[in-house]
Formats: sequence, structure tokens, C-alpha cells
Amino acid sequence: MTWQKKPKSITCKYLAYRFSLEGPPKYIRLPMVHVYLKSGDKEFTTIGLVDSGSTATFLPCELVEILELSNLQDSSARGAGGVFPTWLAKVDVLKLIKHKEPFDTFQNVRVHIPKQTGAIPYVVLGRDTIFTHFDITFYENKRKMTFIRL
Amino acid sequence: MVESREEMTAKTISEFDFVLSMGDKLGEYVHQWIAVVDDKLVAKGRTPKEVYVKARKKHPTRIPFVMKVPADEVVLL
Repeated sequence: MTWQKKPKSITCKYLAYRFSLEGPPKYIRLPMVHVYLKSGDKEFTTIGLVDSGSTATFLPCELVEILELSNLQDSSARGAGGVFPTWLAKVDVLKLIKHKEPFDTFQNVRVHIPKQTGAIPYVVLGRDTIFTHFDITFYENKRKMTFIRL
Repeated sequence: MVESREEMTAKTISEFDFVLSMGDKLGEYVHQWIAVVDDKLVAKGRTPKEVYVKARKKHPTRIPFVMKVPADEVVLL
């Protein structure tokens, strides 16, 4: 068995691109990290927004169908636009990945799932998960963020 | 056995790395769900389940990467 020391500092690039549907080009710059999700035998990877403004971790309801989550409990969350209904559920495993290597793992993660389709387009990693394991610095103009392991 | 550059790249670069490397090309898929395996975009569609199923069908032993390509909507939680 080999033992690998976990890196103390991990730097990840923002997801950045330009697009134009109608009118002038628009620019996307989002602090996203590669996330692995597993529930039962269902697993996939996706993107998660690192959001210091969110006290909880959220999962788009569209992804619930893939994970086949059960035991959904009625709940709610408060956003800038007021209170919105959610389900509360647990995801078996959530891993944070850089390149192909996981750099952190959470188990039995409590997630809020907005009941409205399209309410959020990606996983939102709030202060109850990623921020409990790392101090995170955002370099907005360099389009990168650094995670310092606690 | 000598590995090709493509094989070596696929072993070290994740699906998200590939997405990051797409740059403005990713903008062509705004509002759509996409699935990526290694360094290939293997499906696009209107729902994550749809692209997930397509990706699993093409690559049954691989764990697909699934995402919706975000537009510039303001997101506040």
C-alpha cells in the first residue's frame, strides 16, 4: 500500500469563455471546481460553483434523476429573492478533483435541491462543505482560486 | 509498449481540464447539457439524463462528466 501526502495547497482555474447568442459578446468567469458525485451505484462528475455566500450545498434538481436519490424531505432555503422550496437529501460521496486526482472527499453530504427546474444550473458548494476543509482565496482578475487545506 | 500522445493525454487530463481548454468553443453550447469522456464531447442535449445515458451507452465502463453550459444569468442564492 502506498501513502500519498495530500497537497496543502491546490490552485484551480476559473471556467472562462466568451459567447454570443444575440448582440454583443458576453463573458463567463466562474469559480468552478470538478466534482464527483455518487449515490448507490450511480456516479458521474460535474462542475460545482465555489460559493462563499451560500451557507448550504445545493444540487440542481435535474441531476437528482441521474443519482436516483430517494428519501427526499421537504425543506426550504432563503435566497436573495426570498424563500424557495427545496428537498433535503443525502449524497453518498462528493469528491473534489483536480486533473484526475481527488483532493478531498465528503461522505453522506446533506444537500438542498431546489424544487423548481432550472433554478440553479450547477452544483453550489457552500460553507457547509468545501469551506469547512479549506481556506479559499479567489483571484478574480487572474481567474483562479487557491484552496489551503486546514 | 509505447503509448500515443493521445493515450497519455487522456490518462492525465480530466474531462473538466478538457472543458477548460475549450475556451470560447464552449460558448457554442450555452444553455445545453453536455457529456464529456476523456477529451471528447460525446453528447449534447436538453437534459442531463439524456446526455448521461448517451455517454454511458458509448462508454459503459467510464464515469461521464455532465454539465450545463452556463450563460451569464445572475445567480444569487
